[in-house]
Amino acid sequence: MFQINNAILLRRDLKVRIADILLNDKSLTELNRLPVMMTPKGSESTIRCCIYKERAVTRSAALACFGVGFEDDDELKSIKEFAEERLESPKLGQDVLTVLNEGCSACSKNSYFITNACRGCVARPCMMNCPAKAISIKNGRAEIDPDLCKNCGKCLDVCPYHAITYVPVPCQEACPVDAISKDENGIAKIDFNKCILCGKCMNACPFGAIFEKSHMPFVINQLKQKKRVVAMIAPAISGQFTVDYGKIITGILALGFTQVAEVAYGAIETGKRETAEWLEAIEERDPALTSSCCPAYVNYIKKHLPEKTNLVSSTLSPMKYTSQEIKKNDPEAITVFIGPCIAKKSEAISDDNTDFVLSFEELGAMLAAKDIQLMGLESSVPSLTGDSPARNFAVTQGVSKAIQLNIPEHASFKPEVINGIDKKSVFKIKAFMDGKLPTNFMEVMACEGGCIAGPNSITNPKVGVAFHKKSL
Amino acid sequence: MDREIKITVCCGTTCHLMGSSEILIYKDEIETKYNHQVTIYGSPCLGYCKEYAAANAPYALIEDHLICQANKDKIIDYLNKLLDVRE
Repeated sequence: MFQINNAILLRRDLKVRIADILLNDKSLTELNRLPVMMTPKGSESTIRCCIYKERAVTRSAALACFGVGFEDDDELKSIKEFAEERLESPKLGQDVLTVLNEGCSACSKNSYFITNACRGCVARPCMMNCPAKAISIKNGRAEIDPDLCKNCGKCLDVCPYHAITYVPVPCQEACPVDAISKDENGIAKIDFNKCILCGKCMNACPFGAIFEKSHMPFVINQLKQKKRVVAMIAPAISGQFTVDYGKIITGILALGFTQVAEVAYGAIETGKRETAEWLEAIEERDPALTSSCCPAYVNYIKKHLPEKTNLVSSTLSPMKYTSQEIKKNDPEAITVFIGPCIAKKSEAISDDNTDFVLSFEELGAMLAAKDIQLMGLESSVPSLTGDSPARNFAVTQGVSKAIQLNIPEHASFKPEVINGIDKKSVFKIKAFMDGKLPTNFMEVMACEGGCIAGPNSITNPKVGVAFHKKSL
Repeated sequence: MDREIKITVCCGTTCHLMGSSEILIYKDEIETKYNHQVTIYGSPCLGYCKEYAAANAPYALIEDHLICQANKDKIIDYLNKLLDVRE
């Protein structure tokens, strides 16, 4: 589950500074000064080896905030030049995540190490049982040859002294679909043919080296040009700012958005249509249907089980119904989805009606930069509203419960809930797809706890859930 | 009980973004630890983010003492010093 750490805070600090420069009409030259401002001369480097490395990482991170991935960086160009270029013509791609090579600590690809507890025993089960013949005894102690080791872990299981330790590569460990590999220098690389954009690696990296390519500067640009920008707020927002729902809406309006629409409005439609689709599907086949509102899960099926796409509900996501409605009433409106999700960016890019995606973190950064204090605001109402079951799409089991409410009595609805996609639960998804589970509907949420604990949430899910319940 | 110690945790937008709500999760735990001699309050923006920069948020005040980048551990460390508690 989502937990705060220092690398996440550094990322938020950077986003507040960028939002401050853009929203408060400061010169873009300030962007070039960010690396030095954040790590000034004489300061002690808090995480990395020296201040120069930290500045290099800050530069790459700042570029990612303008949608420039590390692979597109040109060191001869300044942050300002990149920013001007991208503000002129934003490039929004499907490869939403980027690895900042400077930041990546190139964790050892070998995960098993022999510690000082090794006594070089006579039995030597580690050596005897290693299928790769990677272990030898040197100076009375076992040693693993890193070039031969296959990371199978047998040695750890058999050592009578528990002298072998397991040190994972955090990003690879967090990735549910093995999309992260290492290049010849040990730097992490994301394979976008496999990546489902769940965002788990981004928060798992202890060096803050995985960044999301942001849309924030482009949204700010639209606001500054006084376009009609409509915020579409994901229901998980109710748990993010520890104030009443209505005050958050006033805060967003104060940033210059012309309208705030609840995505829960579209969730009502999604719930209804998905129910109808399920009622049809149970007549035809078993397994019947899985939910489709989690974009990371949809990416998972597209990239890893493409032959099962027919089992995923063809009902549109709540975001798409909401943006459709907004564009129907005002085709010129700029629609911005605000949520906790990274995968939503890939969904938005393929949706003509959704223009940009902001994360809760970036919304928080913009509010902080404008010094909008939510606590003291009056309440406002959204232009499109949802109801309680629709708002509950933000937490695990919410989709199943909404469908349950719509179902006629004679049908027997047996939902299976996948609360978080990880290395284990993918097997359960496959089992359902193969008809091996005694259930006829599967709800999948890529994040444990649901959207409310998404990769870009800014409040501890424990607190978030309590505030979310109040908004229902 | 000698005196009541007031801890104010800033819950302004910047401090919230930088994790002040994480401190309030431990409100009961910290208050009980010191036999309710301390009380933790959440407060609207105290203004330190403008004075000292957002990077040092969240801010917390223990009586008159300002804690930057506040977290549960820093608060407990200071309280231990203040109340001469040894762990």
